[in-house]
Amino acid sequence: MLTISPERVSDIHALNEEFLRIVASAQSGECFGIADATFREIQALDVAAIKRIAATDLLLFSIRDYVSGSVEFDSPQGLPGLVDRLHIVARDFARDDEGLAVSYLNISKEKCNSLMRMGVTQISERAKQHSVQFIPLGTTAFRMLGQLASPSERTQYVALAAND
Amino acid sequence: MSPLPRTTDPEQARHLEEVERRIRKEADLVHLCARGARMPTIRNLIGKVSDAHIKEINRRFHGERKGAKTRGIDYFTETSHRRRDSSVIMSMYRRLIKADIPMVSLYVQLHNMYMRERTASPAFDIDELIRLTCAVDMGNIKVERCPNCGSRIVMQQNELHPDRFCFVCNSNPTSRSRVRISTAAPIEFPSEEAINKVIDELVGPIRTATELVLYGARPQEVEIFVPGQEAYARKLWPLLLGMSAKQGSHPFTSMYYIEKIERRRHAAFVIKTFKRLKNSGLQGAELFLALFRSYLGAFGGTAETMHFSRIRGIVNFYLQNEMKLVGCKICHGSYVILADELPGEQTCPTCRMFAEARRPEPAVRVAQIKAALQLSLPPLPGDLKRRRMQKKPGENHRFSTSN
Repeated sequence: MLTISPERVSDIHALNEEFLRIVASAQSGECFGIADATFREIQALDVAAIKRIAATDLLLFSIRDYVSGSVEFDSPQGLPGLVDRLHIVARDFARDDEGLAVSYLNISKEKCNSLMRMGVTQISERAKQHSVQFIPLGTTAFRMLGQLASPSERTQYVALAAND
Repeated sequence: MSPLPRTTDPEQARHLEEVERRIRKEADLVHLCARGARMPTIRNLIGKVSDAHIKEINRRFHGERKGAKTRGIDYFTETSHRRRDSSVIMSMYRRLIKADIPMVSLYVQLHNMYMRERTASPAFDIDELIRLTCAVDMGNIKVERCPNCGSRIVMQQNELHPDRFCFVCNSNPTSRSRVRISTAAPIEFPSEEAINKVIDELVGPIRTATELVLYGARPQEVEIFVPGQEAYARKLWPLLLGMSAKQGSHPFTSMYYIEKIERRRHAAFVIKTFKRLKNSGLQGAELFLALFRSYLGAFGGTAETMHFSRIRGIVNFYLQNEMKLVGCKICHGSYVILADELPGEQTCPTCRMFAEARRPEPAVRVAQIKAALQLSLPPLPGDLKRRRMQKKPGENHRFSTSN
């Protein structure tokens, strides 16, 4: 098998789906770094649309460390759990292949190395020190993402439309 | 260490297994040397290895230290601490043997577990540990249970009364009065990180070269990423990919990437992913392997899927400023143009993808197999030409365009 395995792909889809659900049930998009218009777009999505958009082979968010002195928002319900799951998935990816974790999960190589040295308890502890950030997609790009039918097309578009 | 990619092709799998075996043997050798195994023990466990190679690895861990002379089986019960360690080792060995793991891995794991529980100083090295388990298996040393507490006690054949030697029941268990002390410098066991570093140094190049060949990198490219592995890659090409390795310079220029609209999108994906991976800390072969794998994940199985050399070509042309990325104002996607092209004059390949997505479904759809998830071979040089030359089943040869 020369590409990512279907099991690993379904891990990414599940993480994306959980992320979109958490955003949809949040009070505001500020704590995810999401513009108001995009936040309203996500809130308006129905279950089927969330599932379809979540089936993108790239992670739709990235994790960031809390920087001391920055404004800390109240962590929305389920967010530490999502970060915890992402870390465990990333560790599994990295054990298979570090490049896989870096390219599909937006995680730095340094973080992969530190995750591989951690146990499950330590990972859960660390999850509280992170927040998540929506990948730099504009509102128009997010709306258009929903129009594409296949996961590979959505993956291509997310990579091409990201303002990084 | 990550495993080599799996394959479903039996012939290819056989060669990959051979490479895996070679890599595993080298890793086992390093583990044994780091833990103080003697040459005959090493050869017994992993087969033929040259003295010079063993000495070279030993020097990395223990410098010029000479190993202690092999001692008789009395050694394992000479002091109460050694008897205790021997008993602990045998208890753990009995548990591990049920797990059905390869012998070297079993001994390495046993030694790691023992090092956490050791009391004797100096601690047993892996060679002594192997000799102890063999002596017990051959019946030269016996393992009894304490009648009071049931703990396992390692004893010599002529020793009686296990309760006298039990270190759980007695605070001062019986031991011999005269103990022989070795004059050799005690061994210092390296950390797991140090062992893994040496393994990576020794097997890393073979692993990376094999992986690059598996993804269709030419021997010259393998040489760029892993110096000294060109000949190995050339030998591996026909074994893994079923064709002899491509030689000479690349027959394409930057023009290739703008010949079709689709290729502009492919190239943009590669450049954006390359930048992301580089920022995440990947470099060298690792970066290009991750890049090609994510490219195959997104574009694998399409008509225009490019091979490894072309992907490397995109990055080269981008870094030499022969190509640049431009954004489409309508769809916000990026695509590639050449340095002398004017932005905005091209058809945006992403907009075209949206137009195709909006097109109504045909009444009859030919089932398309998603080849990306079933790739057993990567796209190779000359694939497009080969596909063009292949005659389609049921094609009228008189009107065929394949010649």
